[in-house]
Amino acid sequence: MSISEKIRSGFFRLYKSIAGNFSEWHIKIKPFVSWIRLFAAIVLILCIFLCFLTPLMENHTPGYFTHNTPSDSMLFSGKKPAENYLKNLKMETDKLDQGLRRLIPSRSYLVVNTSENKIYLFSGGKMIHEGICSTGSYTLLKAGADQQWIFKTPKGMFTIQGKTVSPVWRKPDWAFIEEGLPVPPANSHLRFEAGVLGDYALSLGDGYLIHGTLFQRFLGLPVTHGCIRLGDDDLKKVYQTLHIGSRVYIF
Amino acid sequence: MSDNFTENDKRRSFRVVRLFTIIVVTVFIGWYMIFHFLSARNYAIQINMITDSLFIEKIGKRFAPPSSENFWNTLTEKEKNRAFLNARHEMAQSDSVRMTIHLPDSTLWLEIKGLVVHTVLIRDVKLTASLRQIPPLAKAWWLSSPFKTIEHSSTIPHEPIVIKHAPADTIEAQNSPVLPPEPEDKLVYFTYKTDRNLTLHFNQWEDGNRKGYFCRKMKRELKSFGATLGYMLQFRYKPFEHRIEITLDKKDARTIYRALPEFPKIAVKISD
Repeated sequence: MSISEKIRSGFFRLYKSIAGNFSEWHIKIKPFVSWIRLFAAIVLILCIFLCFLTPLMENHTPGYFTHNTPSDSMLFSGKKPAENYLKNLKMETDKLDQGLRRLIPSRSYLVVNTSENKIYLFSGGKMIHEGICSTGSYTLLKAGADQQWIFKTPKGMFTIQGKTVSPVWRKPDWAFIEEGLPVPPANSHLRFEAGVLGDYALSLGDGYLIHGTLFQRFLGLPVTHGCIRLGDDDLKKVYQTLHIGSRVYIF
Repeated sequence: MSDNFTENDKRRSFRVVRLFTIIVVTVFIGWYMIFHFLSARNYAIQINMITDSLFIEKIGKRFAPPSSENFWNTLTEKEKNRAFLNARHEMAQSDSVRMTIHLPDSTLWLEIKGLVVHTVLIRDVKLTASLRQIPPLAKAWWLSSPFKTIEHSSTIPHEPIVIKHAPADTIEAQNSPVLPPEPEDKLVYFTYKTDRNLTLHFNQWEDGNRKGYFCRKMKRELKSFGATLGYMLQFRYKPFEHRIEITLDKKDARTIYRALPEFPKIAVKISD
């Protein structure tokens, strides 16, 4: 018995043993076996197409991309020496490099990673401190049909616009709404709350602050209304290192 | 009628259908391969034309012959550096978060205004062969400005927003000692399709080669197959798509996706 016959008889026996267990079902599908085989073959071909042929054709269509070194007649007939082009290229590269270097702040700056809720404080081009923080919770607060607020920390480059010691929180409307309290007038004394922002606050503009917190156990988690909360020691370090105009990079 | 349909007729009709199917499948495969061949050839002609015009535009016809054999290598290396810096410089014009893929170092950077604020290690990278086949100088010029994302898809939401109705049960409002939930534990895969025929696929390293990866790959191939069929039926060349598949640690992949805007600009440096 040849190998192919052995394989065939093996398959036949396997088929029989399976079919034997489902003899009734087997009798029912017997007239359609050829069609099932044809269908299976088409599905198999499709699978081969999707798994192998399409990626293969797309990735490895060979040999059509010639290295396009220009011919002498096209480019090299003039008087201008090649070294001049390279020199210009070097000048342009140096200019771009210097331009990018100039963008790196010479003063201290802070980097905030909102995904991991971490801060990195840099001074003189070196990282001098690393710590945890809390950033925006991505909560969408809905109040009625027409009022809503989203609590997320903005991303990008910001500058420190103001520094305060012992800041007092001027509560916005949402602070009352989310607690189910009536919203007081704009200058009401009910809006001002001392001691909840920690010892220092650094303003980033548009109401966003870097400040301290009473809820130290939530540091490292995204729980704020958009501000950046720090632990007491980290806040002191950041406050002492950053100046008005220092950059804060948030991503 | 059906009573007169003998077993022999049935067998014959099946044979006819089988033969017809084989012919159709063979013609389809042949057409598919020829179509790919022609599309690739068309793309190569386009690339060569663009390269020629770029040479003329950038170097000019009045250009003295190179003095040494290393000239082209030096030129290519310098053009690559210039291209990379130029792309980063262009991206630095805006205040938002941008991505730089530095394949020679296997690193991926997040940049804000030209400052690298975050660097992650690329665990694995796969490039389509077409990317390696573009002439190095043409490739340097092609990469000399940032890619703009025109389409993106992801398995995780860009912003994990939780809706709460006022008076909300926010942590402070409730004064609850319960900690908020940890970030969701989903498979992280995302794709950026850019304006210049480059598509970037990002996979997570952990469990990345298993079920999720395979399903995603099959979906992608099915989509590509469907697009090819669409072009074939219209008798149009399929635009060639370069692909870079990058594998990152799951945590890094999520950080990168969430940090970037929905349609980010991306600079790429590729080693030859």
